[in-house]
Amino acid sequence: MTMQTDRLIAALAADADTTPRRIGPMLALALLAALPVSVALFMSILGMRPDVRTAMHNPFFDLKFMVTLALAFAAIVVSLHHANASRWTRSSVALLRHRVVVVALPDMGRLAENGTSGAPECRRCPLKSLIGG
Amino acid sequence: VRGRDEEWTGLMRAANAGDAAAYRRLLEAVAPVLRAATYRGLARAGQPVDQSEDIVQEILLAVHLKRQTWDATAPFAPWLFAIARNKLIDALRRRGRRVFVNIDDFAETMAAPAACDTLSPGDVAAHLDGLPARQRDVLKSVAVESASIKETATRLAMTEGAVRVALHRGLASLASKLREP
Repeated sequence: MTMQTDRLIAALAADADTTPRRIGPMLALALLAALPVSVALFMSILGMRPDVRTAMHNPFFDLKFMVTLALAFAAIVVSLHHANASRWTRSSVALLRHRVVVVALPDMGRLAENGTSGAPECRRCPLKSLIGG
Repeated sequence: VRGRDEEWTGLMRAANAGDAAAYRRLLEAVAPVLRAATYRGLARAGQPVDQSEDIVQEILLAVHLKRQTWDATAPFAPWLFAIARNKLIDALRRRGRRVFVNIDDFAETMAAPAACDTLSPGDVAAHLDGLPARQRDVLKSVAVESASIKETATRLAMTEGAVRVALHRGLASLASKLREP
């Protein structure tokens, strides 16, 4: 039994309206679903620090959000590039740059921690600025 | 050749937006070019050219399953020819050849008509029998017997949705079987 190419094409065309899943929207949806989950985890396990009102006035408070958001942004960009095979070669230079960013950012976070409280157990977690020390 | 590339890009955009007719026209336009280039690539590697149709089918399957990775802002032809070239190299490697395929073989190639109906049963058809029963039945019905989704659903007592799912899975597993050495 042989399969003719024109028949294969007919089969492929019949399968064409199986909409290919686009990575971008899927990731956006997953992140949206993950947001309440992570908030719930944060509130139930860690909890808000009691002196959050005073801590808010510290400029490093905002910086810590910028650190985590920049990390998240870099991670999203890297995942999307990984997902898109055809852009792979073109993006590898850009990818490298993002990796450098990803590596550099935690160090910045540590610098920021040292600048404020200097509490040693806080150094690795930018989110800790929200929690009671 | 440039006008052709623009036409392909337009058809692929329409196809990704859900236009099955445009998709079919695109594959029909692309297949002869792939056939000629594959034929030439096999001949240049000193390999029998009777397998070119299998490689063309393999390329079409790969295009189908990876079509969402094509960047709609980029031209379609280079993406297609990159896949085609890789599939040709894979096919030659499976025959124990280490080869270099020039991508210009694809880009500069004009269309070639389909070979006659007396093709030898090739890889694709052979792998069809190794699929799970339901996928095989649906794929045979649609691809070999040219039945529509609706007819296939009636014939196999399935819903149209189930036929579509089985068809898609069948095409995917066919492609993965072809990737195995």
